Amino acid sequence: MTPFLKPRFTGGRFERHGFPLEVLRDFAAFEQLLIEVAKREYLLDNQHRKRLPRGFSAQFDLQLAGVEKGSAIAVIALVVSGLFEPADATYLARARDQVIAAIASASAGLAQELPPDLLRYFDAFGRSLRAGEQVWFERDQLAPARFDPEVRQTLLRASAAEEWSEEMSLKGRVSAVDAADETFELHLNNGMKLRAPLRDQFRNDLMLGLNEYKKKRQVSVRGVVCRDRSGRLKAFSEVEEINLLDPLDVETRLEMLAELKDGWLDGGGQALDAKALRELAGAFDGFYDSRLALPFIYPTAEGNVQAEWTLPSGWEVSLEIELISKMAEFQAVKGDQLIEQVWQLASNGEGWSKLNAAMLGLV
Amino acid sequence: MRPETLLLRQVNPSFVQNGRVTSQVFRPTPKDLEMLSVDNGDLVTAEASFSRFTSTLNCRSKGVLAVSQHECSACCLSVIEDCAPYPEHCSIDFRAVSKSQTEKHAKFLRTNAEQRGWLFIGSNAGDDL
Repeated sequence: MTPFLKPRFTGGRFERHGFPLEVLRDFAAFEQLLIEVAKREYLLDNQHRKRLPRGFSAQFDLQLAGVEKGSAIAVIALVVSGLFEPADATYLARARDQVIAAIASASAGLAQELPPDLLRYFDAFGRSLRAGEQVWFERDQLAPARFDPEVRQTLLRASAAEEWSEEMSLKGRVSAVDAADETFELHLNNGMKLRAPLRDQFRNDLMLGLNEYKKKRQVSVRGVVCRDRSGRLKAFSEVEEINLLDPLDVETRLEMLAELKDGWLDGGGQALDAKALRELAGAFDGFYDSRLALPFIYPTAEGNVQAEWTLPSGWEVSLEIELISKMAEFQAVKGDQLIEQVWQLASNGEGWSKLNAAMLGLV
Repeated sequence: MRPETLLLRQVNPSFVQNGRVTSQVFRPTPKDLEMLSVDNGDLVTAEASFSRFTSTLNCRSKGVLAVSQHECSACCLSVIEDCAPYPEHCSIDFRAVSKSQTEKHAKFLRTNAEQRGWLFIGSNAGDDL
């Protein structure tokens, strides 16, 4: 079976050479986009016809034939029903080339040739791509066309759409649950409030979150969020997952610390490096022993972080982490007893293993 | 100053998470030159101390915690009644203490202050950051 299209996915989740299942939904949207462009091409070539042949679009079927390495290359094959003219398949090939040209134009900041009503189909295609992830489309004699969340947004801005949607995971507090409207309200940490549909399977977690609103209990909500043309978030149109977060959730705390600006400590106090904080959150998630209590985490005046534990065994523990070098100074105090260590919390997990062992020895 | 004199310490909102304060509140930051600023609780109330810090000095505070002079002595930390930049001002002297001992003493002082509880909490103390 000859490949019809071999888009290469790079960055983020695709570096593991697999395909997240949620990305497969984007292919269905891409097929729909191609078919709509192919219909337009057919009518341009056959201007004597008032309508498309019956079943024109049903004859095409794009199938994911495989995934190749590097980072992840989707092999998409075109299957055409034998009942129809093979020549019709050329319209889908022309549609493919036009859509890829549209992506290349958007990527290069050039004017669009596809009409706005067709560009709206990009609302569903690429929705699941996250920051740092790209799709590359090969072109004859030309450099590959890059498609990423920014290029998608450029295409949607060029469409006549008043709003579009993105798959996102947002954190905040549950500030309202409306049983009559079957919606809930998420109060984001930046102060904005977003409405979202209430689904039965999430009702218990949402009520728990609502009851602990004043205690600042955080929830993460993953779903499809609508944005208006100015890029402002408007509401969730779909909710796929809700997680009630631990009050000491490390990632959430580090995201908050990333918001601190220079001078946060009464004129002193350096801002914390956001990238290093994200790496630290990932390392905590990957290496910190899940049997251990989560730490309280505070910024330091020097722009680093200090994790602290008050253990039931009476130990007071601190771990001052220098964000860039990842050097960590561990100190545990109980009465006259003092334990001090210095480790590098490197990405190989070795320093983390020592931290876990030390903490397990204190509980 | 009496052993039971409370030494009032302002707490930056970023040094509080879910109601727990960091031991950093009780150790000097680099700009403090190893002298930790406190107010003499025999001469000023926690509320007045908070008010001066946030209004007059235009600094941020979640509220006021305190350690006693006796607790500082237990760590071999002397308290200097320097009366500057205002008459009630004192400094807990960390100059003769190593970094390791500074952190250890800060933990001890934090635990005592936490057990004593907040002497005053500001009305806009809802957000920790």
